[in-house]
Amino acid sequence: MDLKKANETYIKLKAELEAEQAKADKTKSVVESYRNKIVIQEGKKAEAQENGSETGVKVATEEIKRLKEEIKRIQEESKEQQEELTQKQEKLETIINEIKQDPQMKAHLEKVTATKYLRDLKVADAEKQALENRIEQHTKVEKLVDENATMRNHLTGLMGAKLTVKQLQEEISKLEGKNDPTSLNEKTVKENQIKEAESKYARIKNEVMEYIYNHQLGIEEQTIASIVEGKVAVDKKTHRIDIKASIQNNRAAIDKKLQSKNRQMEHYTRGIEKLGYTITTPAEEAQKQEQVAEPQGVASTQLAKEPEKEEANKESWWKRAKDKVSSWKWVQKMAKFFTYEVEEEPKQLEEGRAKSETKPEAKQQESKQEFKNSLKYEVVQNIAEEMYKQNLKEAKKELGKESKKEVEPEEAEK
Amino acid sequence: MEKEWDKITKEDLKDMSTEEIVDLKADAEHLQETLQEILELCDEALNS
Repeated sequence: MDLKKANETYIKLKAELEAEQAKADKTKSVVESYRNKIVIQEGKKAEAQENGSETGVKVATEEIKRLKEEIKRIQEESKEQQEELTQKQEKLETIINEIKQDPQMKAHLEKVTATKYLRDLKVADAEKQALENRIEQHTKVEKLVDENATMRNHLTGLMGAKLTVKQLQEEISKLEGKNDPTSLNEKTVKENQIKEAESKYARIKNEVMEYIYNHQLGIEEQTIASIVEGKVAVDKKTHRIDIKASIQNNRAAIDKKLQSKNRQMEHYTRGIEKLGYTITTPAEEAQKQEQVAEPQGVASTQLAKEPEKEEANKESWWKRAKDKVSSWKWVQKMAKFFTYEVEEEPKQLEEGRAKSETKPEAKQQESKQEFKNSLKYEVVQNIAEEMYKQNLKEAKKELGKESKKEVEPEEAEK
Repeated sequence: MEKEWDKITKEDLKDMSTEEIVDLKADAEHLQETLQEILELCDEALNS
């Protein structure tokens, strides 16, 4: 690779683009000035028409015509320049696509993408556990209202107090802006009612929490708050708050979120698998090494590359290197993006090349660092992002089709 | 005068680093935007 030549070329190309940019900026100012001049001439023309000055009209008309012809010329030139620029952009795009399709780049982007999925999977798993905890909490509250009539009444009272406050606040908001004595009095009454309801709420909540604490029920205060502030179910016959149905409704909403979270996790898992990786837990790793370890959750999982795919990638890597000896420099350049050992260069390519004085370990470290840095570059980030979205979309599609296939035979039996 | 961009080949570009390619891409995009603005200004002035 002739780095000096590459650098000179880059500088020349950049200089050309910069010169064209400066010219375009100037042209833009010229067009703006012509446009303003046209407006002025149109004004003069109108004025001349009003004054009955035929000469004035003629002069202004000719000036407008001249300015418009100039603008037309600039328009044509700019269109041509735009077409040429599009060709330049296409050349750059081709190179970017080649970067994208390079087997080594692809392999590493797959690893980056799989790592992102694993990270997202771990986040989703933590959220799933939080949802499961909330469901467990709701089950405990449901048991409490089933077994203890006082607590059932208390929770109903809490829900009622919250509803009262909400209703009164809405009523007060309707009175906002009204300053007549009746409205002001009504507002004060409602504000006092809110204070009473809030005081009642605090008193009952303390009793409930004390009972929960004394009986070691393990129900958190925030669970109680989320239930009483959640969607209220009303008994159709008595028109009173149905606390049990309210709890169940709340739990059903969390269940729905949990199902969605499970689907999301399936998508990430499939996304990882589609990239040729598997998720292994430390327990599985230990099993492989015939060691004993307790199974752990998703949070402690890691990625493992499926051997076949890695081998296939390696094969295409060498195939490319062997088939296209002349492109070795490019391949080597791309290899810098990855953690692969660049030292594994085919022997026939070593001839005529100066031996590096850098130690292999240092070289490998440098190569790794260079790849990490490459991710900072917009193009690589864009490609990685594109791969993340596209692969996840395909994973969702696949899982959707599979679940449809699973449902269909059951439906056929009905 | 022949411009550098006219004689450039893909192989020449390949020798550049990703950063340099992105840099040129950004410059080209900026120029493209300016040209588009000029064309819009021209349209506006001609149709006034």
